[in-house]
Amino acid sequence: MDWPFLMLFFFGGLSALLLLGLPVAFAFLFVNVIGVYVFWGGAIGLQQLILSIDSSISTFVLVPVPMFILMGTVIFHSGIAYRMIDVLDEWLGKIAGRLALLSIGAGSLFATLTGVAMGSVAMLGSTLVPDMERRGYSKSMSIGPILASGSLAIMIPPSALGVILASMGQFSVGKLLIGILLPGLLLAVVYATYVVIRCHIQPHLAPSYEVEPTAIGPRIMRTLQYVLPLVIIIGVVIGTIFAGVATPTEAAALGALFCFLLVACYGKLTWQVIKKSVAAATTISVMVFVILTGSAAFSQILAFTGITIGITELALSWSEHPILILIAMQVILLLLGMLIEQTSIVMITTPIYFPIVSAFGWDPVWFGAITLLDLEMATISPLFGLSLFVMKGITSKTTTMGDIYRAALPFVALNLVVMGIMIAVPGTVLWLPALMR
Amino acid sequence: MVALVRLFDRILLAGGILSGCVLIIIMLMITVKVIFRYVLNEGLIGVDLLSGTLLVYMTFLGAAWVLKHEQHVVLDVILNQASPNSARWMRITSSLLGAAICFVVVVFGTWESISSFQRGILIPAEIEIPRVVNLWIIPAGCFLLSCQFLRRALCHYLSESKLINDPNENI
Repeated sequence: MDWPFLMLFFFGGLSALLLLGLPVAFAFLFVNVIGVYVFWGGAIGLQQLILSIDSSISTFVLVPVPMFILMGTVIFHSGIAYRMIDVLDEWLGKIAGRLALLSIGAGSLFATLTGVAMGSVAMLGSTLVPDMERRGYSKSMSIGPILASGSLAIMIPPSALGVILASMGQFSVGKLLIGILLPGLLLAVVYATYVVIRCHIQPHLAPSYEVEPTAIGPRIMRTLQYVLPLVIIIGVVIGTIFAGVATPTEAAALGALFCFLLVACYGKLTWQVIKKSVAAATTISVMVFVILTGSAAFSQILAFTGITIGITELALSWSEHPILILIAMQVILLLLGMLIEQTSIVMITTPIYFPIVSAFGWDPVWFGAITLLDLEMATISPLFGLSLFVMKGITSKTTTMGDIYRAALPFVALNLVVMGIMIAVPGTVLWLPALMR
Repeated sequence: MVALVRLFDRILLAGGILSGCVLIIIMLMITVKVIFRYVLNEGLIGVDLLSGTLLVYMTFLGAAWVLKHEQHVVLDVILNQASPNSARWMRITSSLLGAAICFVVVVFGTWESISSFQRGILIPAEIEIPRVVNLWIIPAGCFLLSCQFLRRALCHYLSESKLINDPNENI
């Protein structure tokens, strides 16, 4: 059978199962079982499938995923994250669009800690948007920055999705985590600059208001108390990977332990906090890992049936325009990202995309960083970005989907600008990894 | 019947708790490894291998518990648009498919585990542990998943969603 028919069979079957409402992980398992039975010799193939389930997840390379998630849940459930937002708020003073900037700062913080954009959007949307509306902020300046801040979730390390992508693409996890740092920070700066400039040009979008001044001494003290320790922990995680002192696995485990110790130092490490944090981290981790159990078999079936090589050859036949191939690949990711959760997209596309990356001689770290930005951008892209619907669910009844689309569009455009810079200047991604030991 | 459901719930909860404990054990194990290397100047062999194995345990111990709480990722675009009755039948069908596919893994996972045990296959790594140590938890976890999927199908059939989630339960 030709590979296009097989591809239609696999992806058509997978789509049908997903649309029926079968959880993603089990839809993959279903397709794998059928594929393995047909192409790997029946029962023997199904025994091999069990081995591939084991080999998909029994690797220490994936350990940072639950560890990064645990770091976020501990800081989140202990309430430390909220204290940090208060401290950031004190520093902003009477700057134009201060609440919009606060949402970018706080969103970056939450997203960086949790690595989950939609969670951050839900939390900040329900806490900051009502305050912004009360102070006369336009919808574009209240909703937009919160949606945008979620984009930083996987672009500033620690990034659990980055670990999954690198692990599945079989390239350096550490290099990808370091490689996304500069683009992530660039994205944050671009967002903040846009908010400040637009609020200066159109002050009515974010009316300024009097802020009760706080003395500099207590402000510094609270910063040292609540912000600095966490910045140090994140710095240690990134720094030890960068310096080659620890592997990403070791850095992530130490980061998680330090978060527990930090919360204990604040006197917040109660049994309730431990239970909630560990339960939340376990739930998310298990959900992600069950999806990943199908990864090895899925990519092997695609390779075995000739689908991978067929698509790679098709891409190479247009090799005089590699940039068009790159754009087409990112457009497909963007469309998928509006409909499906990100881990699943990585599962579907990695076995097909990375042979093409290799055939074109692209650096997988560079391609991986662009992919991560694209996946995150998809969640805020009209018409079906998942974060847009989360926002609709938590804002006032007077907010229409049209308002949310209009608020998101400038930030989608900014994401595209940063993506363009990453494509045109690969050094933005590859410079720091090149310095790693 | 009620006693059986309660017993099953307790097994799922125990799986969830053990899964969380495994997460903490992995964190502590790797920390100890780093301490040994930098403080005691000695390497700890086998930690990487064991942490990989424990990831398999974490996943399959907690998978059915996560399913019980409906936390596995579902694409609900059609489900949300469908009429209540159509959505109900879609859920029943998907649950039965889930049960069937997990049952296939139970059968072949058990077969592979027994075969691996009888042949004494070891994982070729810095410390050699029997492969069956990694494998047996896969059919065990899938057995619980299969049962939970069947229960989910039954609950949707009877339209008694309260049987799927016990609001009083906490980990």
